[in-house]
Amino acid sequence: MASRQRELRRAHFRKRATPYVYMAPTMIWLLAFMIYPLIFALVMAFKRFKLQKGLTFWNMPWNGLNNFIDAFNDPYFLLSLEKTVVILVAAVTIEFLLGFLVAWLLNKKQIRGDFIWIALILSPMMMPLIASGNLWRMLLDMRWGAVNALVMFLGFKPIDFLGTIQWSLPAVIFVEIWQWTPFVIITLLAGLRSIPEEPKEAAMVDGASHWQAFTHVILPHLQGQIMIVLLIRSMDVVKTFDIVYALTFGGPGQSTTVATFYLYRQAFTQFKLGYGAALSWLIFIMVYLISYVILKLFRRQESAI
Amino acid sequence: MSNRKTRGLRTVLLHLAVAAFSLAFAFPLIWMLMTSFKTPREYYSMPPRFLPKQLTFFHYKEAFAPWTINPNELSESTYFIEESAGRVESVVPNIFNSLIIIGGSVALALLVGIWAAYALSRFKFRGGENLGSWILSTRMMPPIVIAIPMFWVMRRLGLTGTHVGLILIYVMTQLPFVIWMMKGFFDEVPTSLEESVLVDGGSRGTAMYRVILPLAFPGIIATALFCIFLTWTEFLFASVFTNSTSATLPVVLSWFRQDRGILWGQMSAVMVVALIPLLTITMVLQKQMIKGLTAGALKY
Repeated sequence: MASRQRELRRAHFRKRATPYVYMAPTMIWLLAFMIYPLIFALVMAFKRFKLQKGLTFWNMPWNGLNNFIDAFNDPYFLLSLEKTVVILVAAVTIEFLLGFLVAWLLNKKQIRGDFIWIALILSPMMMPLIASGNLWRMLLDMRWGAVNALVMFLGFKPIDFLGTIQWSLPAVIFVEIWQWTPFVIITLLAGLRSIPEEPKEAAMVDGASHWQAFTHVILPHLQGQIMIVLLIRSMDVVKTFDIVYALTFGGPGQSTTVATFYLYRQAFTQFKLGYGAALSWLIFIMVYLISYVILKLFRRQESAI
Repeated sequence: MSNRKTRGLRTVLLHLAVAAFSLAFAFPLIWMLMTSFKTPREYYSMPPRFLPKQLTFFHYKEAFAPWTINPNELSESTYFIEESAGRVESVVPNIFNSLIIIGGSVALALLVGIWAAYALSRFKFRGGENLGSWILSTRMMPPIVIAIPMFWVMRRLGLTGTHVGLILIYVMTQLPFVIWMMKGFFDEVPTSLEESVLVDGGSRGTAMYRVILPLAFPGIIATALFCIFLTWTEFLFASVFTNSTSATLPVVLSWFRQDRGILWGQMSAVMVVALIPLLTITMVLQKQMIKGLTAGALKY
């Protein structure tokens, strides 16, 4: 009798444990290659990490909060943060407006052959980021680039887009826009296409203007897609690295050294690993805060509507 | 009558606008394709020509099979390359590196992730929902936060510059996508089928291999393709964890960047070839692509 009960209990336990068993490999993997490095990086941030013979993780000297204090006193880091913010605001705004415009045009009923246009528009998204950096380095070249051919054709002097400080940052922003507006277009287009016709027509019948129909019917419907676009694009712009690496390598001077690029150089060319880890955690927190703000903003609006 | 005319005009203008935007986005890629077929003499000319005078396959040879280059051809075509110091060797070994690393990591990620996806799709268990959205939210994390400590760890383990190190990392980056895409596909497989297997005395494992995996097979392919798409272009981890012999394709692409410029023709040729798998995958996937790219934001 007792053994039967024990068997039942064991079967019950086995049933309850099954999902955890299935989750186990994934959790172990993420623990080993994500959580552990994250914690490791946090510990590193409080140490004076050097690549030196005989120094191990354990006997590396502690550095207290100095890495973080240094970060906020490091003019180059603050400058790189500023560059990141400039790119974030400029690129995301333009991408969103331009993307909305093109998605709006593509959604018109008269449009024929939309799959051809969409295929063409999506093509930049396929480019590896490092390749689009290279490609635009070629197109923006001072002497032989196609863009300068156009500039000269229009009667201006050729512009050294990648070699002068006032043009290099706009160039990076431009490439970001070229690469990622297609993502905005396709996401918003999917949203626009899922809007049913009736509410809009009903609003128009009730005497609403086009603009009112737009702000009261279409925008609320698109909220989900708009949030996705802003959230993903903001997070990705803060993480931007490949395009800068290939296009300008942070130059000329510090003009395009964005935060991720600066900390990459600190960690992997100057091997200040502790300092790099501190900076990377600061950027992590920044990404987290940005996504938190965006999510909060949209949550509140949702309840308002 | 005139109303109809203005409407017709508006339609034409609309198409012109859409065509202008589409071409503006696609033009750089078309330009790259053209450049890969031009001789240096042609792409270093101002004003530039859009179409090459004749198709030159020199840069493809240079990039993929430099040993087939005829010395006479070399002196003619490298006239300008002399100026931009150095050239990159054949990228074929690097393509093999990419294939090994991607193949290994995608296979492992599927092997590990499918079970978690199945658990999230079929079981209600304590913490399940939280775990699921946590796994998804990990894609928010900037990869460089992982790269710095892993650089130290990999050095200690002697894994920098090996394929294994990068495979282990890529499995981690692919797992969230595998789990969420596969969960979607498992959700579409009706539970009645596996229940009949379970009633007949089969185990969950049998149900998985006999019923669910065959039914979700198109989903597995789609997921694998999406992971290939992500990993084929990954640069940051690749640049940190490989050396000159184990470099993957994106790392090689970064080598074309020289101080005085870039090796236009050779680089264009490599990029055109690197784009082929991405083009194919995008055409095959289309809808899942957007779902995959926006995964993570949808679930909040």
